[in-house]
Amino acid sequence: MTSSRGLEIGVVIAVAVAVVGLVSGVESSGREVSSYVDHAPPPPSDRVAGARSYRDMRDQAFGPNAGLPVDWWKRLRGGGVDLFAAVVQTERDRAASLAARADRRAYDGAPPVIPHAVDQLAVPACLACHEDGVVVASRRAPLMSHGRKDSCLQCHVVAADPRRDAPTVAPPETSFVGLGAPGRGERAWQGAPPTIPHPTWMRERCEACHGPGGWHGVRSTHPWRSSCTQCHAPSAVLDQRAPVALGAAP
Amino acid sequence: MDRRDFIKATAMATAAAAAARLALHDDAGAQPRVADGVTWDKAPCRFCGTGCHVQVGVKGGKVVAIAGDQKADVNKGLLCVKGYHVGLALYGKDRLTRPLLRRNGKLEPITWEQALDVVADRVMANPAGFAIYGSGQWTIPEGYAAQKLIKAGIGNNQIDPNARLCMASAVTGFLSTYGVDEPAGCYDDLDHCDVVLMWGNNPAEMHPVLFSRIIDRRSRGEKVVLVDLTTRRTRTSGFCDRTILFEPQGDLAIANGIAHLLLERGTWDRGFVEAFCNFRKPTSPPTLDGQAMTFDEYRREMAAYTPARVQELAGVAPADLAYLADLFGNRALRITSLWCMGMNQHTRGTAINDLVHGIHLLSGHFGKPGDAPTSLTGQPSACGTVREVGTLAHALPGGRVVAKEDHRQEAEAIWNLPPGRISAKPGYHTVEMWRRFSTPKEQGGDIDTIWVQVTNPARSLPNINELFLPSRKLPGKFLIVSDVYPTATAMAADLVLPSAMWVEKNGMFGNSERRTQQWFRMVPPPGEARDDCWQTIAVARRLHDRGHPGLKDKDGRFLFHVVDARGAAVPVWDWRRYYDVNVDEQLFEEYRKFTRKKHKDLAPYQEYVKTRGMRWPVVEQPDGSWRETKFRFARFDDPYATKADIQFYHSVTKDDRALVWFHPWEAAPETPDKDYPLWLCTGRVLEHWHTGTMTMRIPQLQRAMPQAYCEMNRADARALGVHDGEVVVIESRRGKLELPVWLGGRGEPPRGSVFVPFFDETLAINLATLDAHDPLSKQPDYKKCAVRVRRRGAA
Repeated sequence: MTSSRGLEIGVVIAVAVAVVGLVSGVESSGREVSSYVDHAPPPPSDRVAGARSYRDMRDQAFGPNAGLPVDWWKRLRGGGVDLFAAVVQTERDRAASLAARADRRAYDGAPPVIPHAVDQLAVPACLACHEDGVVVASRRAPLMSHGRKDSCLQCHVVAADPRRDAPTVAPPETSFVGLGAPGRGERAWQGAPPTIPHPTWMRERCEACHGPGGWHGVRSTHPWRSSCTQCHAPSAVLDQRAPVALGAAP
Repeated sequence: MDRRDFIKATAMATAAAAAARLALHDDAGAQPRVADGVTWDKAPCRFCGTGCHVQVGVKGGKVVAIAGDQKADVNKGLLCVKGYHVGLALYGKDRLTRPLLRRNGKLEPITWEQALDVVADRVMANPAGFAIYGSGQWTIPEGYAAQKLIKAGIGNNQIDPNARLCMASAVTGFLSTYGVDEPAGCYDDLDHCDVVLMWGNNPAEMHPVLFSRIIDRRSRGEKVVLVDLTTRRTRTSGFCDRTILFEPQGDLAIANGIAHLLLERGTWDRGFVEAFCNFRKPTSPPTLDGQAMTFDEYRREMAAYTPARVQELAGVAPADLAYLADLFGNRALRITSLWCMGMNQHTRGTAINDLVHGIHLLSGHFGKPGDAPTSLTGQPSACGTVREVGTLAHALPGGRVVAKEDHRQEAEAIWNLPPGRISAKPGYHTVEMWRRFSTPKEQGGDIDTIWVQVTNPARSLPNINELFLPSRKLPGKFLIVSDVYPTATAMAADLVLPSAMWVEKNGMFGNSERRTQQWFRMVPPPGEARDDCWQTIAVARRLHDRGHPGLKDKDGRFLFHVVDARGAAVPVWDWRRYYDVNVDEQLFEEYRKFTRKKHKDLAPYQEYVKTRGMRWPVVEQPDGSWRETKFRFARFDDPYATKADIQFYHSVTKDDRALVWFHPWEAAPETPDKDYPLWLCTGRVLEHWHTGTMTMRIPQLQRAMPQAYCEMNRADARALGVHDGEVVVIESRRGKLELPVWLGGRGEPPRGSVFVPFFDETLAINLATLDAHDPLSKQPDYKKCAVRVRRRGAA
């Protein structure tokens, strides 16, 4: 009885994952990123700016964060994450999270595009938010899945014309269908910790996606445990570490 | 689907070929990986000259994913945004899938048999007027086949590549300094240097993987000083310790100013110079050998380049010049100079290349890891195919030239040709080839057919109003284009041949650091698209069958004699048989015979199958293994440098010494004036590669940078009354176009200059650029000409 129920659940999961994979794979190419925001500062005036009084500074927004809500700092989710709160996820949450994730990538493993404007010339200050991750109201700046790299815009590009008020140009048509998100990891038995179903290269920081600030549908149920690979095994083949044939032992 | 299944599924491959292919992999490190139904295998990236290796994920006969290759020395698992999306370049909706012939002004589908006949008809009608125009995107075997067809077969030496527009001045710089082409150093220098000096170079956008290789050292706590010598603030500038803006053409004055201060302060390296250098000055007309001069004469010439004079010529403050001279004068530092188009696309390209080598030699910053003058290339095989195979109008493979009798004889021997087959007369260099193609026959336009492979001259040539567009209206001029997309050139052609690209075919590239790389075909090309190399061989066979005498060797065998494992000839000109054997391997093994003369030894093909590329000279060891060379001319690493710590064993002066040149600063051929008051500089952006024919078909890249623009200084914009985003007219003496202005964008040109990228086929800035070129390298200057900008509607 139990085993057939387990089988049913397994089939449901497999179908759901296949559908998600198909949808995310198909949708990932060419689609506009749905949640692009431009909170870039207004263009600098050619006139020399007058000196600000302290009262101005308190009352008026200025600088690169002028486009953010006036009380944005109050809405930062501070260190008060409850690591022990129950994580309730449905298949729907998982599908939604994977779809949103796929929306920003050409294929699973591609560097995500940037869903907001960035300074095109200066050294970007990406790490200020993305090194550890920030949540502001309903928007989150996910922490980087990889270790510190300084030339962020080498791999990550904006998801819209970087020029202010530029006319929209239709995206090119493509028949590329990117690799979808992987299914769930394998379990040796029901209740065993699943293996990691995707490469871990450039994805060393599991909490980027699976931690409290990650995608809800793929969040870990036990975020207080932070040595992930203690229980979840990566794949040598996926990680480009396939063993070299050295011949039979003598 | 694993590799074996895939090969079965592709009708062209026989079981024998599949077995051979699998048997190649005795090193598991090179074996394709199969995971979750995706087969992963290695290939170098299709785009720039950095030469990153990617892992290509294939499923169901299509590329579905890309990953950085962790076993690759060049990129160590990282890529740039173009590399991560390179797989999408195959899947634009408008891939060319059938040969097309222009009839009554319209391109109509024809068969391959008909198409090959059309090409053969053109050659047979006028062999002397037939030219091939290729590029640094040719694979090594493709370029070698085209080279052999022209130099050994048709015999008119009319072959030149777009790399002429991209690194020809680097070649003449290396030849005139060391007597042999290509950098002595390699990317390992970037890990060891204390200072990186970038000469008119923006690697943060153009060679991003090399750039992050440098700056990520800082994250690891290492100290590396970055110095940006530039005519415009770029994304690179922000990462630099010092940005030194100079006036266009001022680079020559700066280099001479550094030499001046080294000499004046006595901080030059006497020991190095006395042991390893001779001095040279230019002649009139200029030659690669120049004229000998003494050190004292050199010192006297350099005496004129005082900091005050350099400030006047280049706009560089004496303090900045002193800073540079302090760096070079400090023997404890390791200094790597990097440059690419800024120094090469220059009417004084050879001169500035010589001068930068010169200050490295004069100060002894040479031959130690991290101490190197290193040119970068913009195309994936500008080095491997163009410079090494020698697909240039004057060259033969392996550093030989058609003008030298012994070089011709060596090539004739390797190709088994009758003596005297190869013509001693060089063909036309790129600008001249296209000028003659765009000139009526009766006015000297003696090139009447050009076959273009793997490039887009309708957008990448300078001054296209003069060099390209007239040919499309002249009777008797016939343009053949092999390409993968309907590019501007393909759409202007008389005959279009659909090509396979990248991992749709076998291939080999050679990157900027002398690294030769290999990959296998992984997916079938769409429709009737076929390999460029096959196209060349099939045309050659047509000419052979029609009795063109050049297509047989001296024993009457077809020039492209390809055999199977038993030694029987395989008719590879028949597409169904092309993948019966590995044509790449056979062409490469033949080409290898050319590579010893200049000590650019290459290993057997199978060695490259096992690795992520190797840097030549690759020398066989007593145990049968093959060893690459990282640092050329340096005894500690280069097996051919045996006499001293540094040995320039191809020295022009035959005494193992390099040449330190003096070249004077000279004004640019066109400078801003009352009528055309602004400098125009052109270039690339991070997201796009070359003329955007591939990257503009990749949604993620097109979205991030969908259109060309005119970058200008806010003060200039204000003076013109132009606002951000406004469409303006930009015009030179040669042509004009309309472009939106972008203020505060990707770069920041100083007052008096504008910048326009050339990736956008719909907004062709090369209508305005200048075809004036370097007298030795024949490379045009895309970086400086005079333009004016006006508001639309204004006179």
